[in-house]
Amino acid sequence: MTDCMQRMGEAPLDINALLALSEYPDCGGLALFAGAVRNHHEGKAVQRLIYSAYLPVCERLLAEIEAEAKTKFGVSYIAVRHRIGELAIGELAIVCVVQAAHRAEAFAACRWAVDAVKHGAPIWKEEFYTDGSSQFVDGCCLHNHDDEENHGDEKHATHHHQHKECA
Amino acid sequence: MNAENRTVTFELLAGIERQAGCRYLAVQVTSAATVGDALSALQRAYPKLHDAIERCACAVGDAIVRRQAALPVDSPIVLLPPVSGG
Repeated sequence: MTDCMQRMGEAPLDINALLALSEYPDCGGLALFAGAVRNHHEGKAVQRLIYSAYLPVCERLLAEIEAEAKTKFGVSYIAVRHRIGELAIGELAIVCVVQAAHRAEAFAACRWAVDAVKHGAPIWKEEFYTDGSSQFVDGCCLHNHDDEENHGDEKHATHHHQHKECA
Repeated sequence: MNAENRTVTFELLAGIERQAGCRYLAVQVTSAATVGDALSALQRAYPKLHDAIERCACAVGDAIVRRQAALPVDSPIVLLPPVSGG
């Protein structure tokens, strides 16, 4: 299931390299989401942040999300990348590119894949504020007691729950 | 899977690593059969981390494992606190 491609890394994300514009002549729609580092969080001024991750699960999960998006939405191409390490304001943390025959499935797959990464990938954001303080941003619980009781197969990419940090 | 006395090692990441002040913690368990049993032992040994442990998912290697999963033989149990990627 998992290929050898690395989807997580410290190098700056290069959108152009992911577009694959000339490789899918059957595709008329390209959807792109790029998430950048914001300079504020809950009223505090953010100076920079550090993303850390548990890479063994992340690499497998991102590959699975790409594969599932292809079958679920019938899109021809999808690339999901997430950066780790120290990022400055405005730098890209996540990029998702989708190519499909038409825009509807390209948009839908792109949104679904980004949500799946945000909710399911073990990645953590530590924000450093201009007042010198820092904190790990409170996020989405991967552990769900209800899931443990009821699900035969955990699907973090498709689960539903309440959380505040998924804007 | 049985009642042998053994050491279970946990790897702590992100916020829970910061809270604990260390990357690894180990506990002796006598009758732990599952990941959940070992987590309970860790909570008893480190009561200050009780609630943070409760909110963590667990991974072994590249797989997320449930509380009911059998204890891994040699690998540490990786504690994954709530995530905030993207």
